[in-house]
Amino acid sequence: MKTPKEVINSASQEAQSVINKVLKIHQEGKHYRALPAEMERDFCERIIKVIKDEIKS
Amino acid sequence: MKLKKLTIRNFRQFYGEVSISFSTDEQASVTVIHGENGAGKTSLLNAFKWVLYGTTDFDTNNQNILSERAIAEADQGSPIVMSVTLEFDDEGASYTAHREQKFTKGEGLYADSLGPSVPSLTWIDTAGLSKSSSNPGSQLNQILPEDMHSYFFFNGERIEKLAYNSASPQIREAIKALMGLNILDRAEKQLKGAVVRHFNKEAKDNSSGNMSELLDEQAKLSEKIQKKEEEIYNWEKTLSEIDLEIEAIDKRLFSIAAISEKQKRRKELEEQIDQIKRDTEHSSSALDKIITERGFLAFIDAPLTEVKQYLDDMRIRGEMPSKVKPTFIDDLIELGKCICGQPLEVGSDSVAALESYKTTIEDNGIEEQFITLFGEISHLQTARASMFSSISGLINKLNDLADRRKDLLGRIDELGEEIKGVEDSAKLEGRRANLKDKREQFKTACILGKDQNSKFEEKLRANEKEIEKELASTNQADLSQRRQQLAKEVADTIGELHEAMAHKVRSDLSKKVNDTFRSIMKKDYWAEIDEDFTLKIFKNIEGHGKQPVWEKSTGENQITSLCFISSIVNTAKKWASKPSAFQKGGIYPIVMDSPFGALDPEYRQKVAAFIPALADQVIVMVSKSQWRGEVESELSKKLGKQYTLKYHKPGPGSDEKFEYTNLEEGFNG
Repeated sequence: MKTPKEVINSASQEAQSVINKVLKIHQEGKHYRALPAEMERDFCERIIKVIKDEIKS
Repeated sequence: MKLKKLTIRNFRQFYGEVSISFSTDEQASVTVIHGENGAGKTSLLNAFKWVLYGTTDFDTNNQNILSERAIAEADQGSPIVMSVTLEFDDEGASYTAHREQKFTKGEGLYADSLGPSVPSLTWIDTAGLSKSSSNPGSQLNQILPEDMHSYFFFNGERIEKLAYNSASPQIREAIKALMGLNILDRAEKQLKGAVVRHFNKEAKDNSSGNMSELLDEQAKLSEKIQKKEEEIYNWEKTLSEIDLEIEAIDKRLFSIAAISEKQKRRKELEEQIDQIKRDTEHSSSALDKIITERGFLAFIDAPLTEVKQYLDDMRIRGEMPSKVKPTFIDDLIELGKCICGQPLEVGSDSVAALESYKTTIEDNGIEEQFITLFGEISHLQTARASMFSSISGLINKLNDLADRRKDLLGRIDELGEEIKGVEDSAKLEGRRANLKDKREQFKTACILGKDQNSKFEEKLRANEKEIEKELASTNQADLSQRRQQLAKEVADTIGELHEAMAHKVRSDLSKKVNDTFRSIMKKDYWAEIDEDFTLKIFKNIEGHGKQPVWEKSTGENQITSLCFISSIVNTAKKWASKPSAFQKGGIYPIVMDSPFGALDPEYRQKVAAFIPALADQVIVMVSKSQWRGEVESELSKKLGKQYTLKYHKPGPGSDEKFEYTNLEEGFNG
């Protein structure tokens, strides 16, 4: 079994950068048992933007 | 979090309004609630769960939780209110959580619910301002996560299940909940679902013709795979709950003296069935391998015989192998003399004739190929015979395993009937048989689901290759496609990260569990949470090294489970001082119902001694027999408050028409 650090290091640079941002977004909802639909939509839009910013052309 | 007061109104056997104030004194942090069986200890435990999350652990869940006496004494058509209020402090604020549900009295002892229960949460913050929550459910979950609740509010007689072999999914879930890994779950699902779908749609909108169709197919396949994965997850969850219940029933059947031998025998036969299953899988895959790798040998017998015959004929005719070797000719020319004595002069016709033989042999390389081919044919014929012999051996083994399985199933069935015939066990055996049937159904559903998914995945891979080809030739929708790929890579990495983190916490917790376990156990055993997240006990056997302890007593299971809970509580407490991205941690109270039931005096004393150290506040519910002796002497050292549940039972010679419980402060022994 890989360590968490090894898992992250084996991902591409682009993926590593996106993972950090995605997890930061999801941190905001960590106390919800089930994410409210509005929050889920908001998270989704923000993650899409993160990926678009990472691959611009 | 520190609990201050619980007020119950018309909940289960608590009629009218009943309040308990808990000790909040750090030096006397233990509150003991005394009550005999049926007095309402479990109802009290469930009152906490209901006010915080709106659910209970009763077999009928939230049905019939309204007090019978409250229904009986109400006028028909009049409203009845059932409520629970919990006052507590957390991080400097003073909270009041309240939940109520309204009913209207129907005919006899029946009441109609006027709607679902309604929660509310108000608090006074550190500045003394009064506030009210617009989302009480989520806010309460923030204070005490629901998925961690069962490790802080638990029934001591049920926690032993954590130490069962089939409890590994529960241990895994507890560890993930402790780490707050639910955010990883959510992020992975969102990326694989909505985010990938978004980029797929974007790519499709920018494409045309074949590419558009391929992307459409990709979206449909991804959706099918995700849906199936969710179904399989739920089936596996149910399967693990069934396994846990079967193991619990087996333990109870073991304890019934009249059938314990039969139950033991059945368990052995079931283990043999499991072994047969493993052997069958092993032999089947060996058979698959032989047929995949060497199956062609079955069809080459005729060509082999024909070629061999042809080569043999050549040999008989003296055409092959050549009687003269090139090196022999070279030697003769170098010697300058033939074997017949005739001289061989350079440039003579004789030497030219000899040289021409050598060229013919060397150029064609026929001789070497002849010998190799002859060897290959013999080798293929031997391999063919060996393949048939292996296949025949494996088929015989599989048939033998199938016969043994059939025989064992018949014997297990007979034992089941015999066990069912014993009065005390009939109900348990009926339930067990029912669960086994259900287990098979869910297991089949899981196997079929996984098979379906692997076919979908195969199609998806083929589809992705087609998309790549199309992209290379048209360059359509390349940007969206790359974004989609990145979303998938991120989702897969988060999934892997999830597992890696759970394993890391598992190994840390395993050490803690063992430290506590060894301080309590009188035997030279040690405890571990193994790679499969099973809480196991081991011992050393001379000459055999570390061996698992399979037959654990209920008390040993209870202690192992308590050690696990204690490790969880300690870790949460430690993390409260240094929260990180995933772990929130927290200082939680512990509320335990009957934690000493199955323990012998020495263990009762040891467990009672370590319970106050588990948390800053401990609430223990005990019967008179569980309290006396070692438990009383240990817990009294930190005793803050005591209450007694007084159960009023209807019956001959009693004025009571309905059962109810009220509460008195103190304990009269």
